[in-house]
Amino acid sequence: MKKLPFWMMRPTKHSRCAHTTSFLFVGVCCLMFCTPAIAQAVGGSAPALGSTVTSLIAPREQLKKLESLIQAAPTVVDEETYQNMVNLAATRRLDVAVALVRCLGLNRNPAGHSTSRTAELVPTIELLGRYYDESVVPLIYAEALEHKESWFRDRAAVAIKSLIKEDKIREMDALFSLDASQDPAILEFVDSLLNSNMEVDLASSPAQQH
Amino acid sequence: MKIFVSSIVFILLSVFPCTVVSQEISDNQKIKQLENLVPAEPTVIDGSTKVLMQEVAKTQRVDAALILVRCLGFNDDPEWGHPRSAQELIPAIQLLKLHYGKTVAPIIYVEALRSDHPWFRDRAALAVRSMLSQSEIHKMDQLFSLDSNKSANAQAFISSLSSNAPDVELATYSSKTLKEVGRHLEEIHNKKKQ
Repeated sequence: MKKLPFWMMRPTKHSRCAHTTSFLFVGVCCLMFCTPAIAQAVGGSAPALGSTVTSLIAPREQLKKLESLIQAAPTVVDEETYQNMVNLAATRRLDVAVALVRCLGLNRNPAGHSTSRTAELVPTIELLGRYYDESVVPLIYAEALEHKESWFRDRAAVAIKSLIKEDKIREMDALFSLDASQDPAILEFVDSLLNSNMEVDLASSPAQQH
Repeated sequence: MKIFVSSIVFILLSVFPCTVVSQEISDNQKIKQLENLVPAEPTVIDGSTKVLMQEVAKTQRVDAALILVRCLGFNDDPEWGHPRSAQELIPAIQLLKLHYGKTVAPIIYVEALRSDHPWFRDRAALAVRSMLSQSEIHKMDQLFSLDSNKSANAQAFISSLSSNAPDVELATYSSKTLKEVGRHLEEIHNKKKQ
Protein backbone atom coordinates (compact mmCIF):
# COMPACT_ATOMS: atom_id res chain seq x y z
CA MET A 1 0.00 0.00 0.00
CA LYS A 2 1.33 3.40 -0.99
CA LYS A 3 2.14 5.68 1.97
CA LEU A 4 0.31 9.01 1.94
CA PRO A 5 2.17 12.29 2.42
CA PHE A 6 1.75 13.67 5.96
CA TRP A 7 -0.59 16.51 4.99
CA MET A 8 -3.07 13.98 3.63
CA MET A 9 -3.04 11.82 6.75
CA ARG A 10 -5.68 12.02 9.46
CA PRO A 11 -4.37 13.85 12.49
CA THR A 12 -3.26 11.42 15.15
CA LYS A 13 -2.39 12.04 18.77
CA HIS A 14 1.31 12.15 17.84
CA SER A 15 0.92 14.58 14.98
CA ARG A 16 -1.11 16.93 17.18
CA CYS A 17 1.71 16.78 19.70
CA ALA A 18 4.21 17.53 16.95
CA HIS A 19 2.15 20.52 15.84
CA THR A 20 1.98 21.84 19.39
CA THR A 21 5.74 21.46 19.73
CA SER A 22 6.44 23.25 16.47
CA PHE A 23 4.15 26.11 17.55
CA LEU A 24 6.00 26.26 20.84
CA PHE A 25 9.31 26.27 18.98
CA VAL A 26 8.25 29.17 16.76
CA GLY A 27 7.01 31.06 19.82
CA VAL A 28 10.25 30.45 21.65
CA CYS A 29 12.30 31.63 18.67
CA CYS A 30 10.25 34.83 18.45
CA LEU A 31 10.72 35.43 22.16
CA MET A 32 14.47 34.90 21.89
CA PHE A 33 14.78 37.44 19.11
CA CYS A 34 12.36 39.92 20.66
CA THR A 35 13.80 39.88 24.19
CA PRO A 36 16.79 42.17 23.41
CA ALA A 37 14.49 44.58 21.59
CA ILE A 38 12.06 44.63 24.52
CA ALA A 39 14.98 45.13 26.90
CA GLN A 40 16.19 48.06 24.83
CA ALA A 41 12.71 49.55 24.76
CA VAL A 42 12.45 49.51 28.55
CA GLY A 43 15.82 51.13 29.06
CA GLY A 44 18.23 48.20 29.25
CA SER A 45 20.82 47.25 26.69
CA ALA A 46 20.32 44.60 24.06
CA PRO A 47 23.01 42.00 24.39
CA ALA A 48 23.33 39.15 21.92
CA LEU A 49 22.18 35.73 23.06
CA GLY A 50 25.78 34.56 23.39
CA SER A 51 26.66 37.51 25.59
CA THR A 52 23.59 37.11 27.79
CA VAL A 53 24.56 33.53 28.41
CA THR A 54 28.12 34.59 29.20
CA SER A 55 26.98 37.21 31.65
CA LEU A 56 25.27 34.53 33.68
CA ILE A 57 28.04 31.96 33.50
CA ALA A 58 31.12 33.14 35.37
CA PRO A 59 33.41 34.54 32.64
CA ARG A 60 36.54 33.47 34.48
CA GLU A 61 37.60 30.94 31.86
CA GLN A 62 36.93 33.30 28.98
CA LEU A 63 38.76 36.07 30.79
CA LYS A 64 41.77 33.82 31.34
CA LYS A 65 41.71 32.95 27.66
CA LEU A 66 41.64 36.63 26.72
CA GLU A 67 44.40 37.50 29.18
CA SER A 68 46.57 34.83 27.57
CA LEU A 69 46.14 36.65 24.24
CA ILE A 70 47.45 40.02 25.44
CA GLN A 71 49.88 41.00 22.73
CA ALA A 72 53.28 42.62 22.93
CA ALA A 73 52.77 44.16 19.48
CA PRO A 74 49.88 45.12 17.18
CA THR A 75 48.28 41.90 15.93
CA VAL A 76 45.32 41.03 13.74
CA VAL A 77 42.49 39.58 15.81
CA ASP A 78 40.78 36.34 14.75
CA GLU A 79 37.01 35.90 14.77
CA GLU A 80 36.95 33.56 17.79
CA THR A 81 38.93 36.00 19.94
CA TYR A 82 36.75 38.88 18.76
CA GLN A 83 33.59 36.98 19.74
CA ASN A 84 35.11 36.17 23.11
CA MET A 85 35.88 39.87 23.61
CA VAL A 86 32.29 40.82 22.71
CA ASN A 87 30.84 38.27 25.14
CA LEU A 88 33.13 39.42 27.93
CA ALA A 89 32.54 43.13 27.32
CA ALA A 90 28.79 42.59 27.67
CA THR A 91 29.36 41.74 31.36
CA ARG A 92 30.66 45.35 31.91
CA ARG A 93 32.86 44.03 34.69
CA LEU A 94 35.91 45.91 35.90
CA ASP A 95 38.34 42.99 35.53
CA VAL A 96 37.10 42.54 31.97
CA ALA A 97 37.64 46.24 31.26
CA VAL A 98 41.26 45.98 32.42
CA ALA A 99 41.82 42.88 30.25
CA LEU A 100 40.20 44.62 27.27
CA VAL A 101 42.43 47.67 27.70
CA ARG A 102 45.47 45.40 27.81
CA CYS A 103 44.23 43.87 24.54
CA LEU A 104 44.45 47.24 22.75
CA GLY A 105 47.14 45.66 20.57
CA LEU A 106 44.56 43.55 18.73
CA ASN A 107 43.06 45.05 15.60
CA ARG A 108 40.96 43.87 12.68
CA ASN A 109 42.65 43.55 9.32
CA PRO A 110 42.19 47.00 7.70
CA ALA A 111 42.38 45.38 4.24
CA GLY A 112 39.24 43.35 4.91
CA HIS A 113 37.12 46.29 6.10
CA SER A 114 35.57 49.24 4.36
CA THR A 115 36.31 51.56 7.28
CA SER A 116 39.71 53.04 7.99
CA ARG A 117 38.70 54.44 11.39
CA THR A 118 40.91 53.15 14.20
CA ALA A 119 38.03 53.25 16.65
CA GLU A 120 36.18 50.69 14.51
CA LEU A 121 39.19 48.55 13.67
CA VAL A 122 40.42 48.10 17.23
CA PRO A 123 37.86 45.83 18.99
CA THR A 124 38.76 47.11 22.47
CA ILE A 125 37.90 50.69 21.51
CA GLU A 126 34.68 49.61 19.81
CA LEU A 127 33.61 47.49 22.80
CA LEU A 128 34.57 50.03 25.46
CA GLY A 129 32.41 52.54 23.59
CA ARG A 130 29.52 50.09 23.29
CA TYR A 131 29.42 48.57 26.77
CA TYR A 132 31.27 50.96 29.07
CA ASP A 133 31.07 54.67 29.83
CA GLU A 134 33.53 57.30 30.98
CA SER A 135 33.96 55.55 34.35
CA VAL A 136 36.48 53.29 32.59
CA VAL A 137 38.74 56.22 31.60
CA PRO A 138 40.93 56.21 34.79
CA LEU A 139 41.77 52.57 34.08
CA ILE A 140 42.88 53.43 30.53
CA TYR A 141 45.02 56.31 31.83
CA ALA A 142 46.66 54.02 34.40
CA GLU A 143 47.45 51.37 31.77
CA ALA A 144 48.69 53.93 29.22
CA LEU A 145 50.96 55.67 31.72
CA GLU A 146 52.36 52.34 32.82
CA HIS A 147 52.98 51.04 29.29
CA LYS A 148 56.30 51.75 27.61
CA GLU A 149 55.30 51.15 23.98
CA SER A 150 54.21 54.19 21.97
CA TRP A 151 51.76 52.14 19.81
CA PHE A 152 49.91 51.16 23.00
CA ARG A 153 49.71 54.75 24.27
CA ASP A 154 48.46 55.91 20.85
CA ARG A 155 45.67 53.36 20.90
CA ALA A 156 44.87 54.23 24.52
CA ALA A 157 44.65 57.88 23.47
CA VAL A 158 42.16 56.97 20.73
CA ALA A 159 40.15 54.95 23.26
CA ILE A 160 40.06 57.87 25.70
CA LYS A 161 39.09 60.30 22.94
CA SER A 162 36.24 58.04 21.91
CA LEU A 163 34.89 58.03 25.47
CA ILE A 164 35.32 61.62 26.69
CA LYS A 165 35.35 65.09 25.14
CA GLU A 166 38.35 67.40 24.89
CA ASP A 167 37.47 69.49 27.95
CA LYS A 168 37.25 66.34 30.08
CA ILE A 169 40.59 65.16 28.64
CA ARG A 170 42.14 68.48 29.66
CA GLU A 171 40.60 68.09 33.12
CA MET A 172 42.11 64.60 33.47
CA ASP A 173 45.50 65.83 32.25
CA ALA A 174 45.37 68.62 34.83
CA LEU A 175 44.25 66.17 37.52
CA PHE A 176 47.40 64.12 36.96
CA SER A 177 49.46 67.24 36.07
CA LEU A 178 50.58 65.44 32.93
CA ASP A 179 51.56 68.70 31.22
CA ALA A 180 54.15 69.34 33.90
CA SER A 181 55.68 65.90 33.51
CA GLN A 182 59.37 65.63 32.60
CA ASP A 183 58.89 62.23 30.99
CA PRO A 184 58.96 62.54 27.16
CA ALA A 185 56.72 59.45 26.84
CA ILE A 186 54.03 61.10 28.97
CA LEU A 187 54.31 64.37 27.06
CA GLU A 188 53.94 62.39 23.83
CA PHE A 189 50.82 60.75 25.30
CA VAL A 190 49.37 64.19 26.12
CA ASP A 191 50.05 65.26 22.52
CA SER A 192 48.29 62.12 21.24
CA LEU A 193 45.30 62.87 23.45
CA LEU A 194 44.89 66.34 22.04
CA ASN A 195 45.76 65.48 18.44
CA SER A 196 42.63 65.04 16.35
CA ASN A 197 44.40 63.63 13.29
CA MET A 198 46.52 61.01 14.93
CA GLU A 199 47.70 58.00 12.92
CA VAL A 200 47.70 54.65 14.63
CA ASP A 201 49.97 51.82 13.65
CA LEU A 202 47.72 48.86 12.60
CA ALA A 203 48.75 45.26 11.94
CA SER A 204 47.46 44.23 8.52
CA SER A 205 47.75 40.45 8.35
CA PRO A 206 48.00 37.67 10.93
CA ALA A 207 51.60 36.99 10.00
CA GLN A 208 52.61 40.64 9.97
CA GLN A 209 53.33 41.99 13.38
CA HIS A 210 54.96 45.32 13.97
CA MET B 1 7.69 11.73 25.99
CA LYS B 2 10.47 12.98 23.71
CA ILE B 3 8.24 15.76 22.46
CA PHE B 4 7.36 16.74 26.02
CA VAL B 5 11.03 16.89 27.05
CA SER B 6 12.00 18.90 23.97
CA SER B 7 9.21 21.42 24.58
CA ILE B 8 10.38 21.84 28.19
CA VAL B 9 13.94 22.42 26.93
CA PHE B 10 12.70 25.02 24.46
CA ILE B 11 10.72 26.82 27.14
CA LEU B 12 13.74 26.87 29.44
CA LEU B 13 15.91 28.16 26.62
CA SER B 14 13.47 30.97 25.99
CA VAL B 15 13.19 31.91 29.66
CA PHE B 16 16.99 31.95 30.11
CA PRO B 17 17.83 35.06 28.04
CA CYS B 18 14.75 36.81 29.46
CA THR B 19 16.07 36.21 32.97
CA VAL B 20 19.53 37.49 32.06
CA VAL B 21 18.21 40.62 30.37
CA SER B 22 15.88 41.39 33.26
CA GLN B 23 18.85 40.85 35.59
CA GLU B 24 20.80 43.46 33.62
CA ILE B 25 17.90 45.92 33.75
CA SER B 26 17.60 45.41 37.48
CA ASP B 27 21.38 45.96 37.87
CA ASN B 28 21.05 49.26 35.99
CA GLN B 29 18.17 50.28 38.25
CA LYS B 30 20.07 49.40 41.40
CA ILE B 31 23.11 51.38 40.28
CA LYS B 32 20.92 54.40 39.48
CA GLN B 33 19.13 54.03 42.82
CA LEU B 34 22.45 54.06 44.67
CA GLU B 35 23.67 56.99 42.57
CA ASN B 36 20.74 59.00 43.94
CA LEU B 37 21.81 58.18 47.50
CA VAL B 38 25.45 59.34 47.22
CA PRO B 39 26.07 61.31 50.44
CA ALA B 40 27.38 64.89 50.35
CA GLU B 41 28.92 64.52 53.81
CA PRO B 42 29.77 61.67 56.20
CA THR B 43 26.50 59.88 56.86
CA VAL B 44 25.47 56.93 59.01
CA ILE B 45 24.30 54.18 56.69
CA ASP B 46 20.92 52.48 57.11
CA GLY B 47 20.18 48.80 56.55
CA SER B 48 18.47 49.12 53.18
CA THR B 49 21.26 51.27 51.69
CA LYS B 50 23.80 48.76 52.91
CA VAL B 51 21.94 45.91 51.20
CA LEU B 52 21.69 47.99 48.03
CA MET B 53 25.43 48.68 48.11
CA GLN B 54 26.12 44.96 48.49
CA GLU B 55 23.92 44.15 45.51
CA VAL B 56 25.54 46.85 43.40
CA ALA B 57 29.02 45.63 44.35
CA LYS B 58 28.12 42.06 43.35
CA THR B 59 27.69 43.17 39.74
CA GLN B 60 31.45 43.94 39.63
CA ARG B 61 30.68 46.48 36.91
CA VAL B 62 32.87 49.54 36.36
CA ASP B 63 29.99 52.02 36.67
CA ALA B 64 29.00 50.31 39.93
CA ALA B 65 32.58 50.69 41.21
CA LEU B 66 32.49 54.42 40.51
CA ILE B 67 29.24 54.84 42.46
CA LEU B 68 30.59 52.75 45.34
CA VAL B 69 33.66 54.99 45.51
CA ARG B 70 31.36 58.01 45.63
CA CYS B 71 29.53 56.28 48.51
CA LEU B 72 32.68 56.35 50.65
CA GLY B 73 30.82 58.93 52.75
CA PHE B 74 28.65 56.24 54.30
CA ASN B 75 29.77 54.66 57.55
CA ASP B 76 28.35 52.44 60.27
CA ASP B 77 27.71 54.15 63.57
CA PRO B 78 31.01 53.80 65.51
CA GLU B 79 29.11 54.07 68.80
CA TRP B 80 27.08 50.96 68.03
CA GLY B 81 28.26 47.36 68.40
CA HIS B 82 31.77 46.20 69.16
CA PRO B 83 34.68 48.60 68.46
CA ARG B 84 35.91 48.44 64.88
CA SER B 85 38.54 50.25 62.85
CA ALA B 86 37.53 53.11 60.50
CA GLN B 87 38.19 50.81 57.56
CA GLU B 88 35.74 48.24 58.89
CA LEU B 89 33.15 50.92 59.56
CA ILE B 90 33.04 52.12 55.94
CA PRO B 91 31.03 49.62 53.86
CA ALA B 92 32.33 50.94 50.51
CA ILE B 93 35.90 50.03 51.45
CA GLN B 94 34.90 46.53 52.46
CA LEU B 95 32.85 45.98 49.31
CA LEU B 96 35.47 47.40 46.95
CA LYS B 97 38.08 45.14 48.52
CA LEU B 98 35.84 42.10 48.39
CA HIS B 99 34.40 42.43 44.88
CA TYR B 100 36.96 44.47 42.94
CA GLY B 101 40.41 44.35 44.50
CA LYS B 102 43.33 46.56 43.56
CA THR B 103 42.22 47.10 39.94
CA VAL B 104 39.74 49.69 41.24
CA ALA B 105 42.55 51.90 42.64
CA PRO B 106 42.82 54.25 39.58
CA ILE B 107 39.12 55.09 39.93
CA ILE B 108 39.60 55.92 43.63
CA TYR B 109 42.62 58.10 42.79
CA VAL B 110 40.68 60.09 40.20
CA GLU B 111 37.69 60.62 42.49
CA ALA B 112 39.96 61.66 45.36
CA LEU B 113 41.87 64.15 43.20
CA ARG B 114 38.60 65.60 41.92
CA SER B 115 37.07 66.03 45.36
CA ASP B 116 37.36 69.27 47.32
CA HIS B 117 36.28 67.59 50.55
CA PRO B 118 39.05 66.57 52.96
CA TRP B 119 36.81 63.94 54.57
CA PHE B 120 36.35 62.26 51.16
CA ARG B 121 40.10 62.32 50.36
CA ASP B 122 40.87 60.81 53.80
CA ARG B 123 38.41 57.99 53.20
CA ALA B 124 39.74 57.45 49.66
CA ALA B 125 43.28 57.30 51.04
CA LEU B 126 42.14 54.76 53.61
CA ALA B 127 40.54 52.68 50.84
CA VAL B 128 43.71 52.81 48.73
CA ARG B 129 45.91 51.88 51.69
CA SER B 130 43.66 48.94 52.54
CA MET B 131 44.05 47.57 49.00
CA LEU B 132 47.58 48.39 47.94
CA SER B 133 50.92 47.80 49.57
CA GLN B 134 53.22 50.77 50.28
CA SER B 135 55.32 50.02 47.18
CA GLU B 136 52.19 49.82 45.00
CA ILE B 137 50.98 53.17 46.38
CA HIS B 138 54.37 54.67 45.60
CA LYS B 139 54.15 53.27 42.05
CA MET B 140 50.67 54.74 41.58
CA ASP B 141 51.85 58.12 42.91
CA GLN B 142 54.64 58.09 40.34
CA LEU B 143 52.30 56.93 37.58
CA PHE B 144 49.95 59.85 38.18
CA SER B 145 52.96 62.16 38.93
CA LEU B 146 51.40 63.15 42.23
CA ASP B 147 54.73 64.16 43.78
CA SER B 148 55.15 66.93 41.21
CA ASN B 149 51.46 67.86 41.30
CA LYS B 150 51.09 71.39 42.67
CA SER B 151 47.31 71.30 43.26
CA ALA B 152 46.12 71.54 46.86
CA ASN B 153 43.86 68.49 46.43
CA ALA B 154 46.74 66.34 45.20
CA GLN B 155 49.03 67.49 48.01
CA ALA B 156 46.36 66.80 50.63
CA PHE B 157 45.67 63.38 49.11
CA ILE B 158 49.37 62.50 49.13
CA SER B 159 49.69 63.43 52.79
CA SER B 160 46.63 61.29 53.60
CA LEU B 161 48.12 58.40 51.64
CA SER B 162 51.47 58.63 53.37
CA SER B 163 49.99 59.03 56.83
CA ASN B 164 49.79 55.74 58.72
CA ALA B 165 46.73 56.62 60.73
CA PRO B 166 44.87 59.63 59.36
CA ASP B 167 41.90 60.70 61.43
CA VAL B 168 38.85 59.75 59.44
CA GLU B 169 35.82 61.84 60.29
CA LEU B 170 33.02 59.39 61.07
CA ALA B 171 29.35 60.27 61.29
CA THR B 172 27.40 59.06 64.33
CA TYR B 173 23.70 59.04 65.12
CA SER B 174 24.30 61.40 68.04
CA SER B 175 26.31 63.86 65.89
CA LYS B 176 23.54 63.74 63.31
CA THR B 177 20.99 64.53 65.98
CA LEU B 178 23.16 67.39 67.31
CA LYS B 179 23.48 68.78 63.80
CA GLU B 180 19.71 68.61 63.35
CA VAL B 181 19.16 70.37 66.70
CA GLY B 182 21.72 73.03 65.69
CA ARG B 183 19.98 73.61 62.35
CA HIS B 184 16.60 73.84 64.09
CA LEU B 185 17.92 76.41 66.62
CA GLU B 186 19.50 78.40 63.79
CA GLU B 187 16.15 78.46 61.95
CA ILE B 188 14.36 79.70 65.11
CA HIS B 189 17.05 82.37 65.60
CA ASN B 190 16.70 83.53 61.98
CA LYS B 191 12.91 83.69 62.28
CA LYS B 192 13.20 85.77 65.46
CA LYS B 193 15.59 88.17 63.70
CA GLN B 194 13.13 88.62 60.87
